[in-house]
Amino acid sequence: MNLRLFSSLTFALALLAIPAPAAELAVGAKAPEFQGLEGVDGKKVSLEDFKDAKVLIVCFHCNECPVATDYQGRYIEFVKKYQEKGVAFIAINCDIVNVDEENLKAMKARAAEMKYNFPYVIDPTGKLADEYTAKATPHLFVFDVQRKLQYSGAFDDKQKREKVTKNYLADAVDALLAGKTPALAKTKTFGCGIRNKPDEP
Amino acid sequence: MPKLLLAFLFVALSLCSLASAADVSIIPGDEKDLDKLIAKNKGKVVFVDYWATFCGPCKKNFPHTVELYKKHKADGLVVVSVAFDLLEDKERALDFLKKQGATFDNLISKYDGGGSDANDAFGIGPLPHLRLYDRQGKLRYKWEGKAADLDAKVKELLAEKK
Repeated sequence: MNLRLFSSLTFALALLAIPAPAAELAVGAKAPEFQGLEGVDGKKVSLEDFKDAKVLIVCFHCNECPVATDYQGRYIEFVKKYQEKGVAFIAINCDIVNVDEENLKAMKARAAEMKYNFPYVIDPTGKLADEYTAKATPHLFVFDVQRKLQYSGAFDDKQKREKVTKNYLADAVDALLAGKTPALAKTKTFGCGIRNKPDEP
Repeated sequence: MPKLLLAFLFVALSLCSLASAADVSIIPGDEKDLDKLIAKNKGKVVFVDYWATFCGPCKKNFPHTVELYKKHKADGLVVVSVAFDLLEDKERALDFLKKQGATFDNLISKYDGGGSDANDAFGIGPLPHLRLYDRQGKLRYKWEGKAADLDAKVKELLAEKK
């Protein structure tokens, strides 16, 4: 092999090895770890608690965002339908700046009022939102059985339930359960920015 | 005498805020309406602020948007705001705009709240979202979230010839 070709190939390989700036969690990326997050039922939750799930959905959620609250009913129905198919769903609150309204007590009250059928936990540092590159609430991340990211984005295509035409999350999960790759790996979110940094707006 | 003066000042101030509130309005619009507003303002720099009453960072940024408008209006800066609240929450959006003194064109998305349709139509994603169009009506800068160099870019585009 001539030296020039070898150098070019080595250079190209080196470039591939350099990690790109973490603007978005990439398809195929492993689910960032979380451990001992306290939930509304008093239990502490870790990523490995879901190791038997065929599909894991990590949903960034909070109490006060009107868009997030519009989706509560849809989450409950989704979990009801997909739980028995081996799909796990966890809602994580990283909105730690607004301590008056986004605290475990308020979360407990909401979960009880709405009869959440999924764990709703608080991330006291709010850092998980950055690790998952969550842009807003709601923002959902779907991981396959190996905990590799296969879909991220919105639950469906419309805040107003009666106007929904595309069920992004269901489509992605159905594909994974059938052993296929989701047709749509990513959609844009709409909702409220996650307020996990006290010094930022 | 002082009581009368105080009463007069109170009435005068109230009238002032009433006047600016009356200059603030909001109308439903889509991306074509926004494009028309931008085209209509050729020769000027157009700053578009995409926001919603449920977007905390958007509301925190908004006073700066109003400040920029007041500061550079005479130099040819035009501002348009586009709210992504549900249409039924139009009054809530208007209330915020009035309190901010947003005496520029304010639209509320015809797509009725959040959705892929609104995102695709306006070409945006999560809020806040900010855009700057130059005097030729060409999109030159856009920001998602923070816009640290916004003021500098506004000045840059204003300095360009028509």
